[in-house]
Amino acid sequence: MDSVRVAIIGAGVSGAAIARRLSEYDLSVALIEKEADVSFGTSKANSGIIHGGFHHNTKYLKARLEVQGAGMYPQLHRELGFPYRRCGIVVAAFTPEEMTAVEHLYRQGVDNDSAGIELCGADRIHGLEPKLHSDVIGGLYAPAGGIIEPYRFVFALVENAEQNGVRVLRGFDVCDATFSGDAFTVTSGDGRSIRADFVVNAAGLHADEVSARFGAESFTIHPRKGEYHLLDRRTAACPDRVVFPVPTSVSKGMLVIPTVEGTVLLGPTADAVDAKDDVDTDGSRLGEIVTSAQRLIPSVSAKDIITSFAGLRPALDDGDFLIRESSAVPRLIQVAGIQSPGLTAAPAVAELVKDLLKEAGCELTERRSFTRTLAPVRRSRLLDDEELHDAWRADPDAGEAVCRCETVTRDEVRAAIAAGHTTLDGIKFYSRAGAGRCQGAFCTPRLIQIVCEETGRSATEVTKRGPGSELLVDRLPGTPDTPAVRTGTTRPTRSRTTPNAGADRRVDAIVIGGGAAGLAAASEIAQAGFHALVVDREPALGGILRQCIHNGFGLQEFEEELTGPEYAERYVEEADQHRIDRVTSTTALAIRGAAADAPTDAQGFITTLLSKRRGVAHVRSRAVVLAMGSRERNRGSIQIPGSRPAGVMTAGAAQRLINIEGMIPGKRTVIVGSGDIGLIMARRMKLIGADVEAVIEIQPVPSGINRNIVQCLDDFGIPLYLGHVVTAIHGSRRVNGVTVAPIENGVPRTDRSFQIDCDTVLLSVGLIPENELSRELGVRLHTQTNGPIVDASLMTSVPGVFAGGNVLHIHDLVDYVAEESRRCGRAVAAYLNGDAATAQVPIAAGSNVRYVVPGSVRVGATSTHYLRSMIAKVGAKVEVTVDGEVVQTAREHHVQPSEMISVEIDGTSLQPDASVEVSIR
Amino acid sequence: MIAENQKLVTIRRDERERTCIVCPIGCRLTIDVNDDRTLSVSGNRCKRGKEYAEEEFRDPRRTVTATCAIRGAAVARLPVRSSAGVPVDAIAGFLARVYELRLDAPVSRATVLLSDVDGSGVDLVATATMERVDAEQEEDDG
Repeated sequence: MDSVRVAIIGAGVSGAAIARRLSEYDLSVALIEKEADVSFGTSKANSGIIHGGFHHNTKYLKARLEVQGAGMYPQLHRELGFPYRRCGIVVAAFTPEEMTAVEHLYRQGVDNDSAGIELCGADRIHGLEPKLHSDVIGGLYAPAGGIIEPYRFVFALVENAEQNGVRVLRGFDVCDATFSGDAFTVTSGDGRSIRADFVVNAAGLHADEVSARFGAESFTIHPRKGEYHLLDRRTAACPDRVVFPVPTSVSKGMLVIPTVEGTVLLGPTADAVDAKDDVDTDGSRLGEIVTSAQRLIPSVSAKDIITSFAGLRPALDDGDFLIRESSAVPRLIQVAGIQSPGLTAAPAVAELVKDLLKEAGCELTERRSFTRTLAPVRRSRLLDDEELHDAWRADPDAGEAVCRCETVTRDEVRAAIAAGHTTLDGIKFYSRAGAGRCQGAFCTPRLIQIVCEETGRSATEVTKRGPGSELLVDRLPGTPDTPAVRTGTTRPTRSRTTPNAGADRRVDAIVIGGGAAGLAAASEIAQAGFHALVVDREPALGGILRQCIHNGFGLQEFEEELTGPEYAERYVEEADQHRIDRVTSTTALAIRGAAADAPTDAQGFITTLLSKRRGVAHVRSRAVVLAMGSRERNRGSIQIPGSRPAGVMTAGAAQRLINIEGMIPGKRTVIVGSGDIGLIMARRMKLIGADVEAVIEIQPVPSGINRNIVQCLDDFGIPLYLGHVVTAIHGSRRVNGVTVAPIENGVPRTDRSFQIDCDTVLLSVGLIPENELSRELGVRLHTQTNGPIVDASLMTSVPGVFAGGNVLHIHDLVDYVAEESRRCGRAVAAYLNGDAATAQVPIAAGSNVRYVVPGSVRVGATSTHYLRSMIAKVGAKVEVTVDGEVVQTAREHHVQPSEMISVEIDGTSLQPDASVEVSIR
Repeated sequence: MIAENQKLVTIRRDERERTCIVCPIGCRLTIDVNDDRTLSVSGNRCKRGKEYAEEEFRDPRRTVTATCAIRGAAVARLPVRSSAGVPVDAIAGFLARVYELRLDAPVSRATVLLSDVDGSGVDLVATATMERVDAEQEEDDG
């Protein structure tokens, strides 16, 4: 049996800080964690704030440790390099009564020696935080406060402690503790044991149980839940400082927190709960968070929410920390009740525990060779082009973007795994892969593959956060054990020694995305005699069609029924005929316009590309075609409350796992949303041998087409619940069920809710045009379509930048995507030819019309437009009015919101000042 | 797991209520068998609905799409389809044959992988072209 001088139970922030502090001494130390990774308890889900030292009265131990701990962060940050920003904290008061409370906080801060704390009048506070509500009359400013990423702090502490000899035992659940022969023996549920002369109980939520196992004093940890929303980096509501409301008697209130990663955290709530694993989110509480955040910062919008989560505070009855040697069991140091401000206090807690161990008889001699600093974790996203290219020279994996939302490259994921983080949550916390707006829909299959390659595990062994949270349940017959079969594509190429400067290229038009839209546009551009370059992140062209193995494509364009891969190959073959240039396995990182005063031969656009083959490369072009397609809306978009287990994924991610990777993601499925992708996946799950328990649709009518309802659901007897909503997801590690409620008068009838058991939830709740590149380029987006606003030639608000396909608006048929993109390609060719632009007239979306794309009609020409109906109706009319007079009527056999309508608008006799409107009646 | 669940791949065929899929309206069709074994269809708004109902009643078929295991390609699965509609009662057997296959790259699109599966007259066809991927071979040359 292994023997150490000190065993620390619990690798949260307290245990990790203690371990790192003790590693400065000549001492054997073990850090024991029951979860699959460190920082997986309270430390992973909290506000991430370094507090300002004004919230607590000096009579509390926690007040003293808060101020002391906060003062230690700048040095720790320099040594360990975790993300930390001393952005300061403001408390916003709305009324004279609140100002009185603020003055009280101010005096408390002064008593606690909070550095630089000040009282603010209206001008000062709005100057410090311009995004505050205009009704704020004053408040408090604590410049010493700041923000960190709590798990990254814990990871850095643990990594540095390990460097200095601390042993970390993960998955070690203390289930027995004995004392004999003057040492403790601590045993885990899986039979591992360790002997220790001293034990630190830093077990967080479970500190009371651990104390009882040692026969030490009895106390009770009360879990108190805090729920949060996380907002996308592109939100307009990101404050410069942490914004607090004036606290109430029970809590510090709900805050608006800028994170070090540029996202925004809203919350937390404070609710006592019974269970120590109850981290379910609650729908009504999540609504309150948004409302209260909007009171502080009005620009907060629920639309920017990318995920919601909850954490638990381990609170003692008296609300203070309990840090002392056990009165009942000598040499056991209790570190309990470490709720807020536990993160801030952690370095000071470690200092105190070090002193307590010394008093208890643990001699401490400083090590000769203590490594104080940690090599910084490289972040591809934060590098400029040159730095990233250098990183790629050193390691070609820096050229492979694994997570696109956060620009995380493969080497960063490998580094996370090498540092001991082998679960997807651990990798996310370390590298941010999967932490962005798509929440892993794109990168999860790739991350599973990398974990397999790096650890030798099979795909079904990869977990979200430890045993029980496996992401995949089985393989299709004949799929190899590990998904790493791409021998040809994973090895570096020789060309990495080629200098980048020579890689710059010049083309007429660059097309971002090699799906149906990009290929159709590129073919038209090439046909007109121009040089087009298609860029795609996948190794093969064809886009999402490659994973849509079902039939039903091409009836409009080819008048025969094709599968997705067959349709894709037709377009790839057309591109081959036109000898269209393409780069695959390549991510477009940015597009920027050349300076307006640039010489003629330097005008146009420069696109930054990243690939494993060439590192960072730049392509200059006169025109740009945006053809990035769309991404799926996810759980964060529709805010399904409940737990966050493995087994919840978008339908498209499941489709990729099944059809490309050959995996089986679950055996019993509930599908949320009756869009065509969801229906197709219902049938797919049945055909790979899984059960489909239900499809849940919030609308009273199905979103998908009839044929799919009949052939994907009715054929298999799968129940479709229309007008129902999933009100909660259950299961702590893997999904075990959902609660479903009928909708009445627009709200869920929770009194009539029922539960459906399942191990998988697939979300098919719509698509969002993928416009991150467009946004950064300055392209204006349409509030209804979420795609660029385009003129009659499908040109965006940035001259020379065009858009076609799902990046522009969501289409229901790929044939329409191709048709529109061909039009787009021809318009690009006309632009490249220098054809004079003709006058255009905007088209208004009239009665029952959600939008019209393009939203302008050319004067003197006839043009094709797509529109979306807001109503379902048999025997409808599409009317075009000019200056209030109906000039054109098209009969539609049947209209419904899920089906796009195509209209030709005749602008031959239009006056340039006419007012045009399209309506459905 | 697949084998034990094949029984679930049974497509219902004896109900008399159908939703027409010929156009987006989706008429609710009711089918009655007359004494002379001819069919009476009601609920349809056009004659195509009647034709659809009769076909669905007498000989319902579905195009089957799936994937086969493939070695030596860039990915582990090759997408495949049936060359024509498979009688619904034969789909489970058809799938079983698909899942037994172990292919080696290269395979070209439209290659017949199995012909006349179980005497149904329907073939199994590859729907994508998959090159052989050898070590050190790169996929693009932009």
